Amino acid sequence: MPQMVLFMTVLDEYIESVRVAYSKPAGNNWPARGRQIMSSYIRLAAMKQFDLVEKARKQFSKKEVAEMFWSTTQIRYTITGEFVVGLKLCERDYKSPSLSQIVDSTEYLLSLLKEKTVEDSFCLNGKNNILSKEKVAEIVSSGKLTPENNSSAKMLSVALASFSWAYGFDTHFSNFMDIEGPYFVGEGMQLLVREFNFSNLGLVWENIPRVPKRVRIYLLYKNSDISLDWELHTQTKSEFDLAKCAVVSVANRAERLMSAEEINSLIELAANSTQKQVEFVNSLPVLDKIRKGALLSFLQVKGVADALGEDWKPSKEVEAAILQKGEGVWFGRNSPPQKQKSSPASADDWLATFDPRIPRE
Amino acid sequence: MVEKKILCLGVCAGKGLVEGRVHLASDADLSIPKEKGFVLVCSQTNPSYLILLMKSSGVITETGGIVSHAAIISREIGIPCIVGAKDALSVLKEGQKVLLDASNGVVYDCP
Repeated sequence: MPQMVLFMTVLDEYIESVRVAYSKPAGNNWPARGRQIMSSYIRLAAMKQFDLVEKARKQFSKKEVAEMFWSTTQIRYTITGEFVVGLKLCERDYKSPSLSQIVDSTEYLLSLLKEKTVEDSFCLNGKNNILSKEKVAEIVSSGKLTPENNSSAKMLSVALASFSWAYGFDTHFSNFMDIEGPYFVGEGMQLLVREFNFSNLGLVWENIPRVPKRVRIYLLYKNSDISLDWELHTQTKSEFDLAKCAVVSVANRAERLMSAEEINSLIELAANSTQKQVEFVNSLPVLDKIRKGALLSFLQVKGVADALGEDWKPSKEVEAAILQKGEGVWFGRNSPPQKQKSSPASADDWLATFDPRIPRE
Repeated sequence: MVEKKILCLGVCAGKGLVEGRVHLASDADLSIPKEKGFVLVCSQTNPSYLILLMKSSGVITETGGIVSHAAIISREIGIPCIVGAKDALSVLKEGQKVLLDASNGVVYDCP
C-alpha cells in the first residue's frame, strides 16, 4: 500500500509543522484571539473554502489552483485558520461534508503547497522556498542588491509587517504579507524575500493610505542562521546581520528599484497609518470587528472565487450568524484566558484540533 | 568591582546590551519621549507600538514570548529585547536609568 503510506506521511508532516509553530510562546493576538473573532463564522467560511476548492479542483489543474492563492502562506493560514477546524465543526453539526471528504480536501490543499514550493513545503526544515536556484542566483548577481539602504530596508520591513498586521489582524495578515526563503547562496549568506501585496486592501477597508500595491524587499544576510516556520515566524540564534538589500515596487511583474527618499516616505506613511488603523479598529464595536474579520477570512479564497466567476464576499448567512452569536464570545484582549482548553497544551490537543483525521469531541 | 543591582529578569528575545532611561508605555499612552535612546517598557506590544519600537534603543515587556510582536520587531531592527519580565511596569520607573543586558535577560539599576 505505498500510496497509503505517502498519504499518512503528508498529513503527519503537516501536523508536525503546526505543532512546531504553535508551541512557540507568543503574546496575545491583536485585536483578539482567533476564536473570539472567528467563532461566529468559521463554519461558514470553511464551507465556502471547501466548496470553492472542490469546484476549482474539478475544473483546473493543480498548478492553476495553486496560483489562485497569492502566496504559500495564504494557503497555510487557510488550512489552519478555518478550513480544518471549521469543517470538523460542520461535520459534527451538519453531517456534511464527511470526515473522509475533509481529509481528502485537506490533503489536496497540502498538495498545492508542494506545487508552489521547490522544497520543504511544510517549513519543517525552516524554509519557505519558492524560487529555483537559478532564479535566486540571478537575483544575487543582478547588481541591484547594495548596502546603501540597509538601515531603511530593515525599518521598512518591520513597518510594512506591522501595517499588514494592523490591516489584516493577526489572524488573517497572510492576505497582505509573505516571507520567502531563506535561500542559501554560499559563503554563509542567506537571502530572505519579504513580499507585501496590498492590491486587495481597499476591498476590506475604506480610506486606505496610498501605499504601493506590491512591494518586495530582498535582504541578503551574512553569518545568520535564519529559519521560518508554518506560521511565518522568523528565528535566528545569531543576529540578523544584513549585508545587502534592494527594495522594489512591483507592477505587472516588472520590478522598479525604490529610491532612498521613496523608502523613507513609505516607512513614515506605513508607521503612521498602522497607528491610526489600530486606534480605529480598537474603537469599532465588537460586532464590526468580527465583520471585518469575516471579510478578511473570505478574502483568502478570493482568487479561487474569481476564477470560478463566483462572489467571494461573506453571504447573508454570515451576517445572520454574527448577529446570532453576538458578543458572547468576546472577552477582550487583555482578559485572562478561559479555563477550558484556552489553547492546545499537549500533542493530543494539537492532533484533535488540526488533524482532519480526528473528529472533534 | 561594584555589583549592580538586578531590577528584573526576563527571556532574551533580541540579543545585545544597552544603557538608557526607562519609558513606560501603554495602549492608552503611546507618546514618544523627546530624549532619544530610551528603553521601552510595557505590558506587551501590538502594531500600534511600531513608532515607539523604531525609536527605542531597547525593549522590555512583561508578557509575550519569543515570537511575540515586540520580539520579532526588535530582532529584525537589531535592538536588545527581553520578554516575560514580570512586574517590570511596577519595578521600573519613568526616567530611571537602567542597563539592559538582553543577551542574559537581566535589567540592572544604573544610577
